[in-house]
Amino acid sequence: MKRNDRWLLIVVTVVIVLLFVGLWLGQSDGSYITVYQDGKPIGTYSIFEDECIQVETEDAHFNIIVIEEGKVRVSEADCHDGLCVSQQAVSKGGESIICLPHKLVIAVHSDTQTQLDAVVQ
Amino acid sequence: MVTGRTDVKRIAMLGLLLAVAMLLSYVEVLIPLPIPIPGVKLGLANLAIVMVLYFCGCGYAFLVSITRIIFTGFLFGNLSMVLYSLAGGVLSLICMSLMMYKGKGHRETFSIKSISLIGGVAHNMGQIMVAYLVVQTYGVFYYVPFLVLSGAVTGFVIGFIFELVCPTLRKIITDR
Repeated sequence: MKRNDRWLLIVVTVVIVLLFVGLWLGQSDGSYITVYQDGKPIGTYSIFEDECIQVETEDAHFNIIVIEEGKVRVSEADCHDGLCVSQQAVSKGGESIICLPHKLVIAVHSDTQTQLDAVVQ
Repeated sequence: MVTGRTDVKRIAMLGLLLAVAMLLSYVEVLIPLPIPIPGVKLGLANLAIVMVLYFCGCGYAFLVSITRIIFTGFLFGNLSMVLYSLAGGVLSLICMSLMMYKGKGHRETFSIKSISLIGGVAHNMGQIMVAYLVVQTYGVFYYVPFLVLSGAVTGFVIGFIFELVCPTLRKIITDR
């Protein structure tokens, strides 16, 4: 192990820790999701209302998005890697589920404004 | 005549390493990973690319890497796979080539473990950039910490394996 290597390892470790701390600090409870297909938002749904959304791509492929108990997951899809289905359910603001083969992004947003409103009401 | 012989030897070796890289990319497809994050993979082919980089230099490493990506992409994958790998592969090789820079007295600045580690991280960053271009949504950047971590770990392991096989390999390659 050279001296430069040690420095590099320290820097990389610090960067990774900072990235995860940033991710963790930036997380707040989500309130709604936006579904993007091909970069365009195609729908916004509250995560507090259970729902089942089927999204179809132009060439007749599909993803089924399930919202239940304040969490979002993809229950079924016919993409070739199946990564969107095997990913855990997400619920925190900033989290997302991505299906790259179908160019689909499900992003969870936390709207602090609406949360405050809810508290005030 | 001497240069002619070394050229033949070099061509043969590059072909061999290209075959190794392609084989490793094929083997990698067969190994399922329990981590459901798009872009996380072992990067086994990088082992062969690091060998080319170390024994033949940057130019040949680019040549073998790009050929490997195009061949395996169309053999076992599709066009989008080629684009992701190309972005990752080229960015990773640029970073690794820069780190191969030899300082005073031709001493290596970094060990191959560190070079491969940065290569793994750079590869994943290149892929995430293409992913952003594909889906046009900032949501992809949520995966950055996971991909940096996985690139660093797999890159380090690849570098470690390389250092294990390096003495044997050097003997085979430099022996006439």
